Amino acid sequence: MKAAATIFIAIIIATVLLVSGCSKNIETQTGDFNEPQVLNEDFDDQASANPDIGMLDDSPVSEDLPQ
Amino acid sequence: MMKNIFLMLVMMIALTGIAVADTNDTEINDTDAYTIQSQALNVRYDHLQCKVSFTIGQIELFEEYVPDAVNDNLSDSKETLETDMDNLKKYVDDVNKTAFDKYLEDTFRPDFQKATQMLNSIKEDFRQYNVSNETKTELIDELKDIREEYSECVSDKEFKMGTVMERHMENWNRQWGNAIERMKQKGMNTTEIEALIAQINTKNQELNSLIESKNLTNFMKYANEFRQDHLRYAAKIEAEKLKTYKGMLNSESKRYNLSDRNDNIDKHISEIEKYAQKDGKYQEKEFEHAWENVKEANKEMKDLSKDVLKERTRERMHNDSDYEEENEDDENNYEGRGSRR
Repeated sequence: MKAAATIFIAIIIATVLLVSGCSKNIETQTGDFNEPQVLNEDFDDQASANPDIGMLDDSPVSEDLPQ
Repeated sequence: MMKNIFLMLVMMIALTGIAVADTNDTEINDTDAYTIQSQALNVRYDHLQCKVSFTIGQIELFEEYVPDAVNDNLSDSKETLETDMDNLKKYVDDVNKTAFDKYLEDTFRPDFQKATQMLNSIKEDFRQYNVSNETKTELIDELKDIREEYSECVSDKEFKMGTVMERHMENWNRQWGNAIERMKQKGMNTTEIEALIAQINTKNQELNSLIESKNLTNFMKYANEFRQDHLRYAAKIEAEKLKTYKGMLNSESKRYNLSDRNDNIDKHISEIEKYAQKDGKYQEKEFEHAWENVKEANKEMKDLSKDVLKERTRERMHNDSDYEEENEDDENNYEGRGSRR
């Protein structure tokens, strides 16, 4: 019984992983393999994350000593 | 025995699924950009803490040695600045740069400026408080000590910011390396993009040598200049990428009557290039406008490429079914001729 459950779970995992791994390429299969494909994944946000990480603040502090 | 072999086979299939799924994952590690942004916010926060601690430390010293000099406004400013820091910390923990920047600009800076001006005012008119020489000497020694601590605190944060900027550039270069590879595989010319990347990396090397040699005397000046340059180059490079992809889809988008989408993309590119070509000191929030256009343009390119592919497929299927009908007619004609013989 335990073995059967393990087998069943393993088959489900394998199927899910195989399908998710192939899904990104589904669109290429609808076109001509010999032509370069402009895939929409080329424009995903992750391909060009915002390059601005900000900078340290430049507000002046009161550094002088009493006169 | 048979049961064990069967179990092994199933596990092998499962592992194969993992391996195949892995190779299809994007090479870009989105976590890196997020982690770097988080690190940058943390260093920026800690740097502000150096300033706030130094300012509050000075107020407390004046409260101890020259209580008459500290009015309620200055005394209350300690709690105001601590509240500001608590609020900024929430945005740091949420890795929310936009909210952090807004709060910094709208609330923290004005509060900090007020406290600084009040302290400066006390120091400039110090004689009016008739403090004994002995008290003044003790106060000045204490002020020097906390000023020394402040200086060390700030140097430490500048060095840390420098290392975060190094990691940021490594990640940015890696992302662009991957993007260029994809473009080349599709037959696009990436010469212009690669030249721009090489130019900004030359400037990056100058900043890196300062950080690595721990020569931080002019760090803020160089770091600010580099950031300005990097953002302008980044905008130029994004615009080049969009123009290159648009060029590749140009003839098909005309053929499938999708040219109006090109016009929208052109408007975004124009806004991005306006920013990229600007001169002069970087003004905060300038880049945000350019980046909004980058995101919109990418979204529209994504939709355009999907629609071009759809139309291309539809056209091919239509052509294939015409071809099959022609063949069927030819076969019928041939059989007819055969039977007439």
